[in-house]
Amino acid sequence: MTRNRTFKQVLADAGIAMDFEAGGHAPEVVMDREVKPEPHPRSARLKELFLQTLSSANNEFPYWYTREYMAHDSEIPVVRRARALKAAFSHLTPVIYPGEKLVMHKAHYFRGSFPMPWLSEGFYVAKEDELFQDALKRGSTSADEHSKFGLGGGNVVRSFNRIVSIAGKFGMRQEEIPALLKLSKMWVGKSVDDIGHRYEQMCPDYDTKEKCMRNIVCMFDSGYTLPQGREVINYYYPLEYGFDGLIEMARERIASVAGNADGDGMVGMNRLYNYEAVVLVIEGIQAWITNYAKEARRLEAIERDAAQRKEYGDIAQCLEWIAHNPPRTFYEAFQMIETIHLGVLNEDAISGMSPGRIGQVLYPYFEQDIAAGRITEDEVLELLELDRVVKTSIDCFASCGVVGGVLSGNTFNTVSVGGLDAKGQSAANRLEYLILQAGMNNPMPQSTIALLYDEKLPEDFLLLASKVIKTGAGYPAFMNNEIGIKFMMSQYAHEGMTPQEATAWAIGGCLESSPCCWLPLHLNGKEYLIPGGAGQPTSVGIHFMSLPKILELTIFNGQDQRTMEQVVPPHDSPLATYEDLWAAFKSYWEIMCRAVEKANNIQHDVWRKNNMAVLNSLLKPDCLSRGHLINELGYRYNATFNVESAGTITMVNSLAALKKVVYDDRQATLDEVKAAIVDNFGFKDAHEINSFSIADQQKRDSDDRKWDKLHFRLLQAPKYGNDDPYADDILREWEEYFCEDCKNYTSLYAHPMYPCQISVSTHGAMGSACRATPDGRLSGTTFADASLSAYPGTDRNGPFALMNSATVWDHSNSQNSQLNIKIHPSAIRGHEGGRKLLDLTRAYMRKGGFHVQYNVVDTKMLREAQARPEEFRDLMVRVAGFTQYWVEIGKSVQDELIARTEYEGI
Amino acid sequence: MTFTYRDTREFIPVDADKGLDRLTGKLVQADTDAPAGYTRLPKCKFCKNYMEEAANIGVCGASAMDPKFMAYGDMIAVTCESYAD
Repeated sequence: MTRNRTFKQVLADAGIAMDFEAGGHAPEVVMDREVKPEPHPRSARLKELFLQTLSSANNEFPYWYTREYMAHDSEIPVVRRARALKAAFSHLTPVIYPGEKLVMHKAHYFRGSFPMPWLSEGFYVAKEDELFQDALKRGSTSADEHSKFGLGGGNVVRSFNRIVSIAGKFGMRQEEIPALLKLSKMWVGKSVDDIGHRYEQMCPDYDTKEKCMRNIVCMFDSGYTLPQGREVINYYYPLEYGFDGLIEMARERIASVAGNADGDGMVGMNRLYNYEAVVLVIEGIQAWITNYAKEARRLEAIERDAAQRKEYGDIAQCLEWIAHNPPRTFYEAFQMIETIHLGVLNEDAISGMSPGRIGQVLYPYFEQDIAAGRITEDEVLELLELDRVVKTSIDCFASCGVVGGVLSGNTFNTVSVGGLDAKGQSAANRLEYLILQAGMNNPMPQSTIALLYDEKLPEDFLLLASKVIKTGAGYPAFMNNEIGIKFMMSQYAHEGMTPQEATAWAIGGCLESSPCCWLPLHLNGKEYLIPGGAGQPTSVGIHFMSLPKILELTIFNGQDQRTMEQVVPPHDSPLATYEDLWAAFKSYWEIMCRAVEKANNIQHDVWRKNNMAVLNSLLKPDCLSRGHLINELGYRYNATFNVESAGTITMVNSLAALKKVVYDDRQATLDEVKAAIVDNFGFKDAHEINSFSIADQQKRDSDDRKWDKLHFRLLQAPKYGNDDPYADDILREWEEYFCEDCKNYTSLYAHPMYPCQISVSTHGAMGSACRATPDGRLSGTTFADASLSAYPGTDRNGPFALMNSATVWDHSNSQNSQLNIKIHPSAIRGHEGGRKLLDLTRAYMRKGGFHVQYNVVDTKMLREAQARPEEFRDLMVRVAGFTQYWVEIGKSVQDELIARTEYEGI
Repeated sequence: MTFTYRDTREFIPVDADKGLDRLTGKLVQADTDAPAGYTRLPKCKFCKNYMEEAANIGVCGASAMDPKFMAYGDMIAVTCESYAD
């Protein structure tokens, strides 16, 4: 009898226990995290409001943008775009919530965002009927309907009352739907998506690229989805000069460059238009700030509560000042960088616009205000806690696939701490201790914190970081500073990066190492070198490529076994040897990378012609001095485009299994393995049972167990993560090939690409579209997460063995690598536990590991949260490079998180 | 005269469905009626320049474009230079 037998039960029959506990035994009872948050009351109130808030979108920004853009169809493109941006910023409705100290929002909701049909409008136009019908039929105010969507936290997973769900994530008022559709139609044939599509079809391998997308070999086109981000913003110029100063600077440059090519016959003349665009956009930002200041004054005038009235007055005063001048205090500087941050995020569809090392950026103001008694550390701590509410409230309005499948709703505003300063000494300062403390006091998904680990960092700083991890917030993640600097030099030295400048690097996005620089900030006669971003977006070249899917195509001669489409031309090799298999795999990888590379270059080229960044550009060195924006290589570092992989360890384990079972031990033929894969080893597909964890998979009723023996052999073949050279050598061979092969692909900016090895949430979505794999993983189930995490339950020799496996290759040849480890809270209790966690981390860093992060959570609690999500609204988990609320992530990733090996002791 | 909450200046929109009543500090449903005396929020639908052509969609008479650019009645107009009560 095999009815409803799960994979776990089948394995138990064979003497293989899946209830494997690594390094000890977990307590029977559910154990919560040791460290409990203690936020300031104001932070707690605003966080509570956030937890009740739904992601909401409106049309205000796109309306004014489109209205102005369409009125200037004969204008120079960059000026036309700047006019549109100015109009949009100038007309945003200001909303200030009671208790806020750091104000301004993307849109006039607490968690607001808006569509950008100039990037892509197809979704709304295609969904016209559906959206219209939803808008028309929604008139009731049913309490039943209203109570349903708690399941998704802040996600509007379905329409209710007068709210129309867009892409299962954003709620929009039904009154706005006709406008959304009308605005979207104005962009048909004009959006980056549409124009790019017209031209990408001229690539000879366009058909291959489309098949890659259709079959989820690749996720996604990047030019019109998230064209910017995974980079570090730079706040320096407004902080140093103020907005009026920047306008004055731009006007002086206009006078200098107007009509003057300065020896550059290609784009020298463009500087005039670029500076004009800079002036226009800054004026828009100033109007936006001023509108908020007016609102604060209005509220001050009508507020009855004296304390709140004073706060509105303080807010108004701050905004009135920073709209024109460089900030004078910590509070003004913090509000200014908050405003700039939101402004850049409104300029384009962006995830992963990281604030960078803000503890070092804001330190001059902190140091002087503390010394002068203008602010206390407790007041600073409260502002840092409030910043976490602001950052977590940032939503990015993009497609369902991008927001859900890749981002899990996160927007990756990562703050980096630690690292080295420009003199090569520890850069950790007192403000960074408070940033860590704020992350502990007010644990929210954003900003996640990246700690740039260096041997020079103070021990108490690292121990504090270790304590923060115990909150279960998933941060800080540890990044290896030395490895990061080596990567910077290897990728950007040809653009002029020096070893000193390399030390300014920080994490953009979740863990994309990004080039930065030091610039001299002057405050009250004292000079400080502060770090800030100096590079273009990353993760914009060849988006996530599913390595297990490419292996599937390899062993099935180019045919996808889910859709049965011939994705790539048949290689027609019998794959008689492991070397044949490996060669065919690489050949398919290269064919598909090349196809995606070309199409994305065209999309980004269309983006830079009509949709270029103006605000983000003027912030980045050296656009203001050169007079060129991002699209004309105005940034200091432009070699940022990369190749992203997904499913590395599932692929490695699969190759190891084939090598062992088919080629070395000859226990089965490749045809037998293929037949077993097609038959999913006698199991149902994961979608049939709506669970994406391998342990829950069920045998088909009709299964005759003919694949069991082969399945066990494949499962018992060597697996990555056990310090076993058999599997680890395959990882090393892949990494050496991959890191070198990426240089063969070039961006539209004519620079070679490099590897980016993170999974974000693609291991769920891509696993869902992939049949069973030769490592014994079943159809539709989630891949191993990250790039160096072991597949759940397969790392049986402890964390040090896992770390040995992970460091068989040189991590500095890649932008990143990613290792996630799940630890039971009991394993790191007390001061001693924190010390052990730090020792473990330090060991990995010393071995040459680039990144490790910890999920401190009891798996039993995750199971309870999956069963009763309404009781766990604020439960956070670390996914892969980011933290997210449990209830806001998709089931495939939830299942994978539950299944991950839990270390009971370290 | 009464308005729905979301058409008043005392309503602070939290999300598309609800907001805070600035005077009471309480969360309220956006589509419920606000107490009498609450102030009307400038919106296109209250503007003399707005000409509705179909449900929730129309044109802005203040637009300098030919033909006049679209508008939608529910858009907040507190920042619009052409808003005419």
